[in-house]
Amino acid sequence: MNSDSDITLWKEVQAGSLTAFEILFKRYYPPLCVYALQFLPDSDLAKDTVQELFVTLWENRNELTFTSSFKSYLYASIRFNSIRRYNKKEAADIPLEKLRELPSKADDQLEFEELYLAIMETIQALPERCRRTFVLSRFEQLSYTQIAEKMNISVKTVEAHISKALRLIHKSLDHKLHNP
Amino acid sequence: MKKVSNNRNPEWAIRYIAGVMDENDRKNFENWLNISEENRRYYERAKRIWKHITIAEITNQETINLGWKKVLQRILPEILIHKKPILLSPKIHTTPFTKLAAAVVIFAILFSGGFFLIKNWTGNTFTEGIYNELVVPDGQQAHLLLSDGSKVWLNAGTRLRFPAHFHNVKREVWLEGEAFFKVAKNPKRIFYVHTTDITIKVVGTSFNVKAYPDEDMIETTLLSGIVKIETNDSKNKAGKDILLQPNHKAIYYKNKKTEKITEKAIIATPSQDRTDKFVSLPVNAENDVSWKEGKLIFDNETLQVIAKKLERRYGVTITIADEELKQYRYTGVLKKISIEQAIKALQLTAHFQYKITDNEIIITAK
Repeated sequence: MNSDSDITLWKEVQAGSLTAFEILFKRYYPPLCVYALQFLPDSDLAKDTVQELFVTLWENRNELTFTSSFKSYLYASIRFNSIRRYNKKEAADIPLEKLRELPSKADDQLEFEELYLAIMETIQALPERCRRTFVLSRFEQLSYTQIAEKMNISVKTVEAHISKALRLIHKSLDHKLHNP
Repeated sequence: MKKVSNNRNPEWAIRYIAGVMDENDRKNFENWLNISEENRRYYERAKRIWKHITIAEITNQETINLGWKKVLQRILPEILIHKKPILLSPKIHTTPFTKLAAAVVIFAILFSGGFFLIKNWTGNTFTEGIYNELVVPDGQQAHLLLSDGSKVWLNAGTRLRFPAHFHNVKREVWLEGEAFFKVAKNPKRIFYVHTTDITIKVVGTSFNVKAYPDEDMIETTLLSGIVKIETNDSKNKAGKDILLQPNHKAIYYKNKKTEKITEKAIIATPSQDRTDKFVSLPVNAENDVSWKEGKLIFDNETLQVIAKKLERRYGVTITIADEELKQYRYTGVLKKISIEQAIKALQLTAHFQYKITDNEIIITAK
């Protein structure tokens, strides 16, 4: 699944392949949702914005031809659509052609992707419950007692989750250090 | 890890956020944070991304699948009415009606030769989410076995989308046109037939669905078991579901106006269940699936409606050049005959002339 084949897949989409479209969707849905969350207040809205983009892509597949980066187009569109949606000042629809001319804000996209990939790798080393416990503790600043209540588990389990999370994060980073 | 200084580095941010840093590194990092707004912004962003990935549960395969499903629901109607075949399976196992004069031969091929399995089109091992689409043109029928053991008969002019394997708890297929389903029983995995306007849910039954895009109604006829039918219109969901009994047919009117109910529904005995858009009535269910035995049954139907059925069955175009003729009604059964024989049979009671050139038939008043 390397990104080089985006354009190949897109060509298949243009030929009517729903399967190629599904691969593209599943490839970019997670990072785009998180990217949209940089501009939007809640995750449902972010997901909706990304779904919306893919519906538009499908509907306009015959008009959209990508010669360079499909990915940059996606990021630029999400950025644009999210901001527009949040502000809601510009109600009028912007033609797709205009959308494509928007500056890609390449640096912003690159920085995001780099962070996203690194964090994703770390997070994926953690089991689901561990992940949630950790976020509640570090980001929501909840105490272990509060987390225990919220997740309906014992304080001891919370402690176990946190220490496991730390151990795994450490391991994942060390692994990366030794195998860059 | 010596220098925190120059670069913005995801790893440092991650270590700091996680709190897996020794005292010395932590101090260095904090110094770096205080050097500039830009550094702090970078760190805050890393934190935000981490939080958002978790909150949006975006690493979850389920979340991704749900997102895809929502997209699919929105583009599906477009796919269903799309003229060009989409994701056409490379092998279509169908038998043309027109090319075989002796119709008995057709059914020997179609129904006794076992089932056709359609290979997934990409042919790779990436099976998750691979869908096949079988397109049956006018004038042909097809028969297939799904991966769960369910059998499907597809009538002419029908398109069925189905996964190469049923991976999820749900067994889901998408239908445009007419098909008869013999669903393999599995109470734990509900079988869904999606159409443009309604969704049929079953655990294991036999039923027929007729959902052609150019027709005003979608008909579901149940032979055995029980099915639940829901409208896809989530806004008007309440009270719009229907539970169908064997030997009953549910008619769903796509265009809201209930007064547009056709003659057939009005003739029918008081409906057992009725909402704005659904009508359910007792029928002889066997009639509705007789198409798979090559029969065409007309129950007080106009020549115009019959012509449409013939067009599909034989892959021809029929033009009726007379308004009065279009409204002429027939009741009867046509069995395994050629298109010309069928037209001749219709000619027995109505006075019309016909002309066949290639695949075009023109009917005019005598």
